[in-house]
Amino acid sequence: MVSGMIALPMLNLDRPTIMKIIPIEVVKIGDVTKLRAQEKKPENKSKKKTPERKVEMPPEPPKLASTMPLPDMKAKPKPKKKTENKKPAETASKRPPKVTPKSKPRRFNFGKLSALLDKREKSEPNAFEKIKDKDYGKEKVISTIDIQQQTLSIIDAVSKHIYDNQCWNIPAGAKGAEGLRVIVHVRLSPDGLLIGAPKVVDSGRMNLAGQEFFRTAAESALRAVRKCAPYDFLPKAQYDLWRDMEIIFDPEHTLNG
Amino acid sequence: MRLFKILILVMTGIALMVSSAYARIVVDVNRGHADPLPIAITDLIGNENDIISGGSVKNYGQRIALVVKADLTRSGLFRVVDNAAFIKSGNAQTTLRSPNFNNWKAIGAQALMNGTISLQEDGRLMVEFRLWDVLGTNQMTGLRYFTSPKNWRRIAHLISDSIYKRLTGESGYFDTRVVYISESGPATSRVKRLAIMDQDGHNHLFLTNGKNLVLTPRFSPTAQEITYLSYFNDNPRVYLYNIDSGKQEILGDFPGMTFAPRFSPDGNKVIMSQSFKGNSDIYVMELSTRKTKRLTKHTAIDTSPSYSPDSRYVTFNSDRGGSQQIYVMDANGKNIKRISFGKGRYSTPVWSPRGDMIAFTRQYRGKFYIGVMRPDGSGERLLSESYLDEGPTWSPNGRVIMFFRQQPYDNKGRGGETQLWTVDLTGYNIRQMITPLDASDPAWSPLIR
Repeated sequence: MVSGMIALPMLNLDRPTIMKIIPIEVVKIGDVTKLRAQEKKPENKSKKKTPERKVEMPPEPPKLASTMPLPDMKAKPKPKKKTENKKPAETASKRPPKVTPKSKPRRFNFGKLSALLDKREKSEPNAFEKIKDKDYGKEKVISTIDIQQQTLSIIDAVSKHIYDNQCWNIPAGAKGAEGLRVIVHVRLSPDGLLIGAPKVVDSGRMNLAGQEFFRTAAESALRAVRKCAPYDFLPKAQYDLWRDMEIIFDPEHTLNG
Repeated sequence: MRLFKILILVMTGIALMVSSAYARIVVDVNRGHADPLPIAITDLIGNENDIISGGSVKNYGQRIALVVKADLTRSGLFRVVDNAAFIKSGNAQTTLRSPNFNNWKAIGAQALMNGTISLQEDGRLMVEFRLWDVLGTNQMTGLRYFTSPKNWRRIAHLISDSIYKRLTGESGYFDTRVVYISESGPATSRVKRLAIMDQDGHNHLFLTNGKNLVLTPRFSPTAQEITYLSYFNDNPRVYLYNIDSGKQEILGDFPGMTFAPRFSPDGNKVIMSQSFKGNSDIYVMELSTRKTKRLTKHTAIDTSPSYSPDSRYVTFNSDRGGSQQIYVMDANGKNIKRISFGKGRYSTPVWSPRGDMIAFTRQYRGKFYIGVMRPDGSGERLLSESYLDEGPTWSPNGRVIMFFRQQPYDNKGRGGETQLWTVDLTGYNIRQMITPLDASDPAWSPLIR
């Protein structure tokens, strides 16, 4: 079995479907929790990988970083909505063409462009392929791998931080407490401080009559987020990845386990 | 057209990078702690020059805070921060409405209660409190009460209930009472009296004089009324006793043995078991008409029935399967299903007022346990264990169970003391109630108001 798994990535190296195999690699990268340490010494890490990747990987984050400041915060909801509508993370790279924060003003400047909106949705895959032809594709795939790995270690670090510091006090004993899952939207400054108040994604439910248990669960989640701030242990170089997070507080595992 | 194509290419390229970076990280936190919530309770601010019977108004403010602290601590869901840790800053009056949250956060408090107490011209006390979210820096609730000074403990319990409700999402149970059987004297001639007290053991009163044997007091879920069983000319009688008025009436003389009469959730019926010639079955009596209907017909012994809070089902105890086990049936006596299947014997099922659990006594290998299971028999958990634990009764919010525990006798016949205990659904918070004499068979009231 093991040898089979190793062989697969090699066979598929040139195909865009590499992305599907990534999760297998990711499991091994469990020790990526030490993200900060690894960042400082990228050379050590690169020994295991092909020189090609080694060169390409470090430059990626800066590229992304330079694109980040461009769209302002208000532009965010749009991409978010569309990403929520479609499920798998794999398709994420195909979706973007629809959403161009920068394109907003331009649409109004070019009257004809608005007429292209529908067409653009249909021609989405083509656009993607063309980009790939221009060598964007390879770069893209690799950077996505990198981002996925970094993302996982950030997720790991935040989750561990909240647990180790005993920030989340589960409201145990409530009727149906194990089903009270709360999602909190958190925005962070580069220093790991909270920007504005953390928000419960389903906040409307908090004030509904008969949803007192949800409110209690939501408030315990908000307390956890606040108590655990600042999140200054997160790698500054990857700020773009964690500046905007959703934290899901799911008591089922603890209460039933 | 070429311009457009290039434009689209450039824009989609940017979008690709932007959106991949913008795919918001989702962190799944599925491990937490179930520690008590740290809360700071400040003394209610009152004037020490206003003297009423029992002390100054300031003193009442301190006593109310003490009762609130005791209530919340006993619940096991809160950890009251020691007053000695408080950081004093600014004028007490001004910080009432704008607490220095950083100071409270610094000492680890996540919630804060403060308030005032003052004497009104009509001799009543006005008590005002606010509950603050220290980390969220906002007020969570605030209430004002007026009462005669002698009711100060009730005000404290009402404040505890408000805090509990706001922070747990569930009704409190502090403004409640407990009736139980007070026992004294040697085992051979035990004097049993009906007694009542607040859920924290204060305001204790004996309701009967002990001349007649009293058994199985049960609270009405809707009123400050209890049923109990007493013997008259060697025949058991079911009494109805109104605690507020002190009046009692006889529900009826029942031929044969009658056990464990218990109210229906609407308080209009009483369900019980009666036995004739050694065969015990479940009966229900309409209080307004006193008409009795038989629910089970079986040669086995069916006892201790208890309604589900929606009145649709009844749980009871039966040995029809060969050993004592717990059964659930429709309220009309149909669809009888056994729900307990563990080793040993199960008895005294009591349906939680919340509906999600049935509390019971389990006997296994010479030990007694108080436990809970879901009405379908799943999720059984044992909460207490001793030589003899029995008679579970639920707090009105379904979070806490009170029961009695008897100590074993030694070989010289000493021991056998009985006390009341409480345990919450987690099973970790188990506490003894203090009663003047030995105590057994507790019954928890609904919220008083």
